[in-house]
Amino acid sequence: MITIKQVSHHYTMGKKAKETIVPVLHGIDLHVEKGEIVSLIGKSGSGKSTLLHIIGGFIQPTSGQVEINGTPITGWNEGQLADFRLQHIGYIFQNFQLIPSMTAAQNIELPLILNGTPKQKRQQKVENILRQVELEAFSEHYPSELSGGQQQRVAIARALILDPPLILADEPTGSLDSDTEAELLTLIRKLNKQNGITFLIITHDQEVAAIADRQLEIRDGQMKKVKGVMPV
Amino acid sequence: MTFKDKWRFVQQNMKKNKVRVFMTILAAAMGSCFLIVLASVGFGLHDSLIKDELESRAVTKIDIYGTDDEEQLGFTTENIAELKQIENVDAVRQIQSLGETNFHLDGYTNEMPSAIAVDFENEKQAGIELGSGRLPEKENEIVVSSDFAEFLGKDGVEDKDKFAEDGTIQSEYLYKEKVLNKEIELEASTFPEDGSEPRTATEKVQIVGIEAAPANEYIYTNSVKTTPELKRTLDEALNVTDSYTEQGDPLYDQVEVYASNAEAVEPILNSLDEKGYLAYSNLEELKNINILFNVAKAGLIIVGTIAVLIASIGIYNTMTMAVTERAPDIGIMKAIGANPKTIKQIFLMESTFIGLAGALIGTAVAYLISFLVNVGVPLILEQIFEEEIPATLQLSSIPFLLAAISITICLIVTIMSGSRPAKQATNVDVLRALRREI
Repeated sequence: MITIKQVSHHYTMGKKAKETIVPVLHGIDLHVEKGEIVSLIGKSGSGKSTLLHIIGGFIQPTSGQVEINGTPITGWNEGQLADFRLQHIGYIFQNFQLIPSMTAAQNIELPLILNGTPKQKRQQKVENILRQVELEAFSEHYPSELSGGQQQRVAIARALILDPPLILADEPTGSLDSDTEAELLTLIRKLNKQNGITFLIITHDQEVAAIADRQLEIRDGQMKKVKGVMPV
Repeated sequence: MTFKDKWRFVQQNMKKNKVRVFMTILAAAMGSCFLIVLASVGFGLHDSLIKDELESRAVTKIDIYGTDDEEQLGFTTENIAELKQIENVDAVRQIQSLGETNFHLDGYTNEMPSAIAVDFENEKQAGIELGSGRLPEKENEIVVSSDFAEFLGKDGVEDKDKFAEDGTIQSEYLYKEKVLNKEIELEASTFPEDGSEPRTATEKVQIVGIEAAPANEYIYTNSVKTTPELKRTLDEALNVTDSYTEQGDPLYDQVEVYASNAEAVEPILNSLDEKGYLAYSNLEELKNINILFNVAKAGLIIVGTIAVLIASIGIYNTMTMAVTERAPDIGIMKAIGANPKTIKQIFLMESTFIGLAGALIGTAVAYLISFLVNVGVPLILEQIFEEEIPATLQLSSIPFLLAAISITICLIVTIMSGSRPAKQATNVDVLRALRREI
């Protein structure tokens, strides 16, 4: 599902002529199989978020190759990456990233609108997914009227609405209490088992990392440690 | 993303800032309205002048005032025959002046009207219109202009008493009865160039017809039309010979050619030029008027566009604010897969809507203002100057073309002013927007 070959990245900081190069990733290799849950742990500033953003197409790596679902995406322009993201990747963020002026249903519907799905089909799909994340009763609620767990479930529903084969989750439980966190992890497990969705989860929470088939750690911009069974 | 869905987004976005959007539309409407009203004055005055020109003189008429042959003092019958042969010439009107004439009726005199001898068959073809009576059939019959009686003043009254300040005859010294079918004395005079005594001849003539009043009520005409036979009788009595060739054929002082339609005027003018005639058409004057007014109208539209440009600053501000405010939303949309083109189109649609709404409202208000100006300003001017304003005067006119030009300018300007903020929206950095750093 994800193949990363020798990906390196550095940030350029400061003004012109006084720039400082800050290296973040050094020759990362990673392969994630279809239907796998992989957790990526590491300290702050280790480069785990940078790697996720490279996989998500938000950042172009300084060097190296990224393939998603067999498609090399390195060097693509923003429009191509956006279209690819819409069709192949679902994103879950730490602070949910819901549009506050839209209801839960409207937020979930957004990828379908961008995809050009007809209205009737959209409504049907939104109802189904709301049922799946147990939020039917909150469809017309605005994000500010929902709890953190409910908001994250809306975000998950939005990420799943186009049935993407891959979900990238950036600290998905970072803003949740332990009970809600447990609920969310169960939901992730369920979706992985039922729908065969691949998850790449960034976290520094060991409990979250524990639900993964594989745990990877990034330290000083390099893959340092691998736990779990490597699926063939 | 379908057009309908993009429009829904635009509506949602505008609802969030109703007041700001309203004020921006208002600014665009004011700019567009100013442009139209300003240019409408040029269009209105142009229309009035054209209407005046068309009413005062026929556009198909061509005046011939001479030939290349400087020795020839008038137009011969051969000239007339030649003119009649030109393609698309409907009628040729040949005119002989009667010289200085006075008309006396029951102690009243019309001094020196424009008296001419014409062929009434040609007059019919040229479109003479009678208000009453008929055209002359006998030698001593005449047709007078509609204002002829207005110039019949009582004899023996001093000029300072007889004439009002505006040059018209005081009503108490005016001939009160109807002049139609009245017998009137024609007194023709000649002043020989050799310095001998002036000679005078008189003839009794009958007014058999009165010409229709001109369309423009402010044009006064004091003229008399009579037959060529009467002209010859008077010339013989006065011993005038320069109105005839050596063979005794009449020489005409003035010739008018009437084209079958306005399009035929130019080819006829070219033909006349080739044949050595000096001609002038009303159409040429109209062309000059059109050039002058088209330049003026273009100038007014350019000045008006400045107002639209000022309004566009408001649109630019509104859209820039909208992009800044919505940067987090834009970031989220881009993160979940919104194509930058889609984002740009949504913002461009919003600025286009603001521009279009402003232009349409501005146009509607401009039509209202134009109507009020045309109705109200003449009333005010009449009150101030105590003079009747001509009904043909149109101070403001908004043809469809002007409205279309204004809407197009407004749309182009607003799309241009919205394009930079729309581009900014596409350049929103997803990660910074998600971190609320924008």
